[in-house]
Amino acid sequence: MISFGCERLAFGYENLPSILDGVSLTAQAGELVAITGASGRGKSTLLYLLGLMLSPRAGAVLLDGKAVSGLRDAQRSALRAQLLGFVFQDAALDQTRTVMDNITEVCLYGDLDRNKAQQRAQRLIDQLGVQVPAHRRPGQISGGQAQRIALCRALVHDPAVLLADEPTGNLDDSSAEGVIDAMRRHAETGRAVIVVTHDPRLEQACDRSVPL
Amino acid sequence: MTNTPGWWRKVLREALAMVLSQRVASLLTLVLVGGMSATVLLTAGRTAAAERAILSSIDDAGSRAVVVRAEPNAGLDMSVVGRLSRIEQVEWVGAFGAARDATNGSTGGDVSAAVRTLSATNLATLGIDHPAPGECYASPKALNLLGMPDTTGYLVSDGTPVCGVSGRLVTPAFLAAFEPLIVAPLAPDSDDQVAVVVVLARHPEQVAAVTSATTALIAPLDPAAVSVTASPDIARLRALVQGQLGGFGRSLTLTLMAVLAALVGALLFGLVMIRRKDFGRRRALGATRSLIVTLVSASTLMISAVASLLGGGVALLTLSIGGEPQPGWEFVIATLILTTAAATLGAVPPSIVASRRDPLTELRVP
Repeated sequence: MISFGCERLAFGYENLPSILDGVSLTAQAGELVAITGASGRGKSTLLYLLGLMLSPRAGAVLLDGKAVSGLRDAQRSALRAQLLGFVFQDAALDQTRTVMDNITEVCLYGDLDRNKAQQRAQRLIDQLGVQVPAHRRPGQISGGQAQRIALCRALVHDPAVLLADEPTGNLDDSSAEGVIDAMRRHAETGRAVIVVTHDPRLEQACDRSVPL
Repeated sequence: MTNTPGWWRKVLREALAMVLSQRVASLLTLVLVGGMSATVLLTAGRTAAAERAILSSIDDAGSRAVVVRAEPNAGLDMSVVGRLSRIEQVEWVGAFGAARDATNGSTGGDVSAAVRTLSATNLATLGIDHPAPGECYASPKALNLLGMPDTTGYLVSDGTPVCGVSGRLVTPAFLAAFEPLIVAPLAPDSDDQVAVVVVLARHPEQVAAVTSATTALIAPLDPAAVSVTASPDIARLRALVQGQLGGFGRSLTLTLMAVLAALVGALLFGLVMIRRKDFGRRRALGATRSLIVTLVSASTLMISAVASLLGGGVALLTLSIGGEPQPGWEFVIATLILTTAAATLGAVPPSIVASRRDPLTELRVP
């Protein structure tokens, strides 16, 4: 992948006025881009649009210049499973499954060998300094650890594009540093990383910011 | 990648993991499906077992037998057996000669019983193997009557030896009217005259056709000297029992299956609503709608299959302990399959609802 972004994107809920109108954004491979702006400006909505979970009212999401937001649902799901990684604002882990099951969940959706994914998951757990046994359940770990587990899940299939919604929002300085460092390293491997953030530490670590 | 063995292995493993991780919901589904499986077997199954027992009794009473009685001048000989055995719907044919009163020649007793010659399509039906000329076989009732408990001795009629008793025969239900039964088997090519022919249809509903075919094939010299009787009343009774009990069982089963599908659907709908964030996350991470439907349906199928077996086992054990008649294995297997299928079918609408959870609505923090 060379570039990922959107062009003249507009979105609004049903008959309500558009909350995003004419938004264009591009993240090149190797770039860490921050989407910033006051609350209610549509930052998270833009991220979900880029994650192909919503259909735009106008404009398109572009992958290497090709519009992908108009694809059929199954094709968009396949792109999410294979090319995109997503970190949700509240980690969104399955409380009934182990940490390892949570991280390797994407194996089921994409073409990823489970054993290889488990090895990579363990490496990511170590790299991010989560210090949680893989058999624990999310209810037995802290919020900061949960957020880093969610990042491991987003990275386990080595996605070409990582999308993260306030990934450091609930973290202390040390944990936030680990997360920022992991995203930085992911971008340096030739991947694009787009984050929505209010966190000045993360904004500073990005190559550039796109204010909304 | 979908629909490959590897993909199915992944899906089934995930479905199993879902079953094990949602213990309360799985247990509720297990109890519901197992309970319904047991209920079907204890109600419709008991009806089917009763129907089977009643039909068996009716069949034993001779609903399949057609009896031809021939006067001595009818000119009917033992070759009639070969002709009648060619009728496709016929299971067994036996032609009996005229009855001769005989007594126990060994003891000189004066109690007599009727001895009949017999040519039949299959003597093994009476438990007779490789008979020799001059031998005769008697039922336990006849042996008891003649005072031959050890099955040895010979029979005499008017002071003349008739045959040596060589063995005990088993009287089939359709020959119960001939008890106490003593037969002297004849060679198949015998030209002895026939007094009675018993023709057994394969199924009670074929009795009418067999009666017509028999009447046409016996071709007596004097038609007035032959009478053909069947048991139309018993056949009608059989059809009535089969229709009413069978119909009741089928409608009861279908009603219970519909109730089961609705209950499983309602239970899973509640579960989907509780776990909508889970399904929203799965969609966001790349699960297709069809995969979500497959996962929910597969996990329900797994629980239902186990629950059906457990419920079925409990029901059969209950019937067995209570000494009640058991439904046939075909009914049991059909019930288990039907219960599993109904529960899985009930899971489809909630699984479709689960597949349509919107990630943004479910996952976004306000």
